[in-house]
Amino acid sequence: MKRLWLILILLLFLTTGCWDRRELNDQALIFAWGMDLNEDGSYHATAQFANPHSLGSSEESTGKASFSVSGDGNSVYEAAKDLQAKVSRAWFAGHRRVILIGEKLAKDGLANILDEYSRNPIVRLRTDILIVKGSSVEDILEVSYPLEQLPANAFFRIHEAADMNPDLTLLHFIMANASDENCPILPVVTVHANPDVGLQLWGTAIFNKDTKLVDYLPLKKGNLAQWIKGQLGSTIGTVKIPSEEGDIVVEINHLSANIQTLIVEKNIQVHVTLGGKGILRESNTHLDLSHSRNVVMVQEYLNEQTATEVKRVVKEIQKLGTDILGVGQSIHRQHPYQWKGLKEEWSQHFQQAKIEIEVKIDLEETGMTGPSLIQKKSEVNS
Amino acid sequence: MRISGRQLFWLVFSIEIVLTMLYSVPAAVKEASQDAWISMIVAGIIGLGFVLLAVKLSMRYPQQTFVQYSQTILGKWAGRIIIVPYFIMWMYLNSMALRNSADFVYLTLFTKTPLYVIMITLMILVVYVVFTGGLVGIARCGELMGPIILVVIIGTCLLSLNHLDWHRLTPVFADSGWTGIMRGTIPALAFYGDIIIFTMIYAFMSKPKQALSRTMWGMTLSAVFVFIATLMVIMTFGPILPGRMWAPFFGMTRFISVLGFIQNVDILVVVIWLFSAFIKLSLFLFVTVYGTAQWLNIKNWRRLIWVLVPLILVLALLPQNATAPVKEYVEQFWIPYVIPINVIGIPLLLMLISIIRSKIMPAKRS
Amino acid sequence: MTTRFKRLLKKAGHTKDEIFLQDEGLPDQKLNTSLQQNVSLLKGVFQNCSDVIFRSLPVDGEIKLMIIYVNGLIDANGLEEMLLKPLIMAGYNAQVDKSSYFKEIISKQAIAIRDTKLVDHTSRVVEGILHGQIALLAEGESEALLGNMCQFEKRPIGEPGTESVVRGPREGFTESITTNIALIRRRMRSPKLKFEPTTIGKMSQTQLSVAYIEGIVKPEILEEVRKRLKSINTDAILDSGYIEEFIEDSPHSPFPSIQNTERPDVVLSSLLEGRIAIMVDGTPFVLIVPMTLWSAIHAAEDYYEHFIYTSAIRLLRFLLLSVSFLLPSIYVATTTFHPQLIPESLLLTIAAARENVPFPTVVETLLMEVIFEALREAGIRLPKPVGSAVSMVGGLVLGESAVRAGVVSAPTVIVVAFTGIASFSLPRYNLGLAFRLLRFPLLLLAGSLGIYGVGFGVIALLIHLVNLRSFGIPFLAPVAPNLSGTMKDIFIRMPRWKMNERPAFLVSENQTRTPKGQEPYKSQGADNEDVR
Repeated sequence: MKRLWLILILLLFLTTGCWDRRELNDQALIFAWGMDLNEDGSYHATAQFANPHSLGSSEESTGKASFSVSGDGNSVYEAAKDLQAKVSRAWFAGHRRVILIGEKLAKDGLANILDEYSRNPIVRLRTDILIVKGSSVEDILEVSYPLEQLPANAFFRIHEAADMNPDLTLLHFIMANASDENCPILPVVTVHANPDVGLQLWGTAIFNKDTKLVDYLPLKKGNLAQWIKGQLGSTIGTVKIPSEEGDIVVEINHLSANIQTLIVEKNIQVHVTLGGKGILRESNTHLDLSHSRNVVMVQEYLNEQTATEVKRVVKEIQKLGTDILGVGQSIHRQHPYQWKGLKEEWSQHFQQAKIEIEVKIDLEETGMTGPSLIQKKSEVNS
Repeated sequence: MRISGRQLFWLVFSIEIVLTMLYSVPAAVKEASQDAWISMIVAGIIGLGFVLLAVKLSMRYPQQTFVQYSQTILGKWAGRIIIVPYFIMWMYLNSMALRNSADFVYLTLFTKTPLYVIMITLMILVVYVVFTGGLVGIARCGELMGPIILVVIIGTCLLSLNHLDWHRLTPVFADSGWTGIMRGTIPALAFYGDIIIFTMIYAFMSKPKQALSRTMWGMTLSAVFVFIATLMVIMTFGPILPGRMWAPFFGMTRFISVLGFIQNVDILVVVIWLFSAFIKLSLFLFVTVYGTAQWLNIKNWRRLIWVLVPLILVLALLPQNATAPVKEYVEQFWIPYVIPINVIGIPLLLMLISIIRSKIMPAKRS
Repeated sequence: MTTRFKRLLKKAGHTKDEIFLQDEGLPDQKLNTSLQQNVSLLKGVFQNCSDVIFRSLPVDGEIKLMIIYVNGLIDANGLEEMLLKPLIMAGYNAQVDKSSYFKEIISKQAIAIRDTKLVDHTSRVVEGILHGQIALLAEGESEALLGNMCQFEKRPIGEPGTESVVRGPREGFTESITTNIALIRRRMRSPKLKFEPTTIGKMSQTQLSVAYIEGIVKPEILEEVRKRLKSINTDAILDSGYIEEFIEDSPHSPFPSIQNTERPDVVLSSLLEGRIAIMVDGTPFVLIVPMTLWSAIHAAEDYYEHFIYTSAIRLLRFLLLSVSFLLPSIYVATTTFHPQLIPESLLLTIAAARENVPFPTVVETLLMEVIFEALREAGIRLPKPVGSAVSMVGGLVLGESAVRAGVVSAPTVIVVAFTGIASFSLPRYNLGLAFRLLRFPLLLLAGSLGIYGVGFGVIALLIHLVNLRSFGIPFLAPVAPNLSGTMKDIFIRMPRWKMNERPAFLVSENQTRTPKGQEPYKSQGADNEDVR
């Protein structure tokens, strides 16, 4: 009796089961996904699929490693279904790690397309999302990148190599957008003029509270903004010593940022302290860096010059009225009760806020040499 | 059928933790935003109060189950009538726990497999253990699976540490205030109220003296992990998103990446969910079947399985969508009726009458 | 024949119950003084038994003495030296009356054989002869003398085939129960070690011995063993497997509830933990009860090697146990249901390998598993010289060519091969069999419900294991139910001086086996004074 039951159950599984079973060779694996806006206002979706015939270790691998297919529709899923009509296998988006957004769509606003990316249980919130500048999404997905087997991986690898966490891009975007305080940002890629190189991380895109693209910041400036936000791992700073001719380049690690706010009768004063540990990477000057007094001098100049640079970027951002720096967040955290009066018109308040920048980088390492090895003895300035 | 104190501990732990951790966090964050962790501490303390009430009442009659001692206290007929709300609660718990579990599995793993297949397969397991093993079988399964659940929870917490930002917990208290924080305790309390089911279990303890301490420890451990989970979810997703997500702890595990190779370990959470749901369902079914048998004076309690299980399956298929059992039913039925009546009201009443009776007629009680 | 004997029995007034021999139809009557009649009766019993020898010693042309024995079961040299020579020579050197001399020998048991006895029933004579004794019957004597000269050809003690070790004793049991008992006794010189003999098998009359250590064994378990053994009623016992099937707890479960071993040291260490060994004549496999699941990851060597190494190996075995059970189904579930679980680069490799495979992954894996089991079975059954051919055909032709031809994918072959290796690494062959068998239903579950199906199977297995019992001991003890203080020898092994007590759930009372405080002193590790 007992075994009869068991057999019945097993039969039940075998005869009626396998609803969700789908063989790997019946699926087309999506690795990158692009969204853009058509002229008529409908969405244009492009998916990059891996071509299994050309992957793996089998000797007879042929053809390109990936190919892209596009579809149109009034929503993300509609476009995806339209796209499915052109693909011989059911697409599977569980391994999609990159979403590319066209410039036009970004200017129109992302609010309508982002829902699908967090609702579908198959796809992951852990996704990199980038804005494509200067070319269409479809074109950039056709670019083949020499280092990566799948060009899709190049996007977030480049992003990762710039010492940002590509896994959290979409999450940070959604979090900033859902909050009262912050404006979201996204990284920007372009097609490089040299077809062999292919891709280039261009900078940062600034969005307003309606998820519309407002402006771009080039790479260096964008990095500084992200430093304040605390989302950057490392950057470099170039120091110009007034008494010397050349430059000194310092790599700055362990970046930290501290925003202190003060509200005096509706006047917002913000004091941003940026910290980090510097490693001197290049010195084209005549300074003898084995003397700590020279190192201290370089450090002072570095702090001073970085601060002015940051200040310039902050001014630029303030002009746009988009708080991508987390100033509002800091006010909310430090003065929660006053924040309630400010949050309605935060954009204006942010523009008028007085933001001071202080940079405190500790220059700890000067490398394997004191003075530059290639200079004559007389040239070295101790 | 006898269970040890250690088995009781693991049963309490594995029943209370996983559901609470997954489902009460979003509801609490919605009410108390970044202060939800304070709500969880408060909820844990109130939950311990539930434990105290349930154990103290049961320990007045350590050899009897709830169904039996309610008749001892109130007399045969009143004692039986008072079980009616409990019978409703048992059936509700059974079917809704089944529905929740099936929905979770369906949502995380399947798209085409019909829901009833998941329900029936879960029920097969539950009936198997209740029928062949009874309470002892459930307790031993709990003893095997409880530690696994604990290890997986600790593991997922440890692996998620790198995305945390404690700044997201601030400002403390300012945004929610006491009302928000207290409202945030309700969803967790709704789950902690399940503890009343153990009034049917204490009669099987081999050492009834351990009942209080072991249940307390089980409850405390669950509350601590629910608290940690809430903290971590807020520190990962900020104060707004968790309230809108369906199971933010589950979402958090999706961000785990170990050496870039071990990724997407959310399936592990599904597996411990399965373990926890299995223990929960089988304990509920045992209590329902055994309690009903005692209630209706049926000798062979195992036979009732074949009556009640189809009923539970039908009830579980009734809700039209997945959110109703976790949200609306909880808000409209469980919190306003079951918690005040079944979990607090009737046990307190029984306690009072029992104390008065023993004071008035001390000689009569043996 | 039989009816005649039955009639004879009835005539003699015996009822069936009184017959010593359980085998029906054997004559049981008192011997009478006529040798002629006795011999003809016995010759009737041993009709067509060419191995039973009747050796007569005539006096004056008349047969006065008859020696009966089974050829090959007795010591032929001894027979000649001890019995035939003195009996034949007796008449020459002394002026004895041979016929009365024979009688005297029998009545006074006056022969130089270490173990003799007098019997007066034919059934006893028959039994004695069949057990390798020599029967002496003399004219005018109503009793027969049985002399134990049992000796037969046996295999020398060799290394056990199923449980080999790198370090540790290399003796294994043989087919002779006497030798086996001696092997145990030699390692345990305590009168508390008991061997209770019984005989089972109506026709085979197989000797059994229940071994235990008095004072350690739980009396109720011992009583249960005796009771179950007593209730066995069958014609012959050819191996301890026969006994196992009669006395195991859950006959329908794929899991064995009785452990078997070929190693005397394993038997003895089990006895010291309060277990009971059932030894059966004719097989080197000794049964040990009660058994728990955890013995699946315990090998004899664990106790001879260093405890740190042993603990690591045990964890590895536990991992391999899970692999042998779960790996194929997890492979099927992840590739066909949840590809998002597989890391991207690995997924691409698998996808590329699977591209031209005609079968669904479940079928492919099932197919490979069946082929693997077939190879394994063929490897055991085939005559040794052919073995290499099988492994070549199996390994090279099937594996390599199937992958090259695209019939199966390489990842599947890897998965199946690793599963096979893992299943062979378990020290208990019969437990490994259970897990190997259960792999197949689990594979089907994985193929129909994905990882949820695997979870379903694992939970169902846990429920089954939790309900299993072996002679009153839960199969998963001491993990579920969790019995504190007995976990020192389950997943890891504590050093000897830490395992102070015997497992509490097996022994009659909690006994100390190694008194505390024997940890080697730290100072023992210090440098020698002279070397400093």
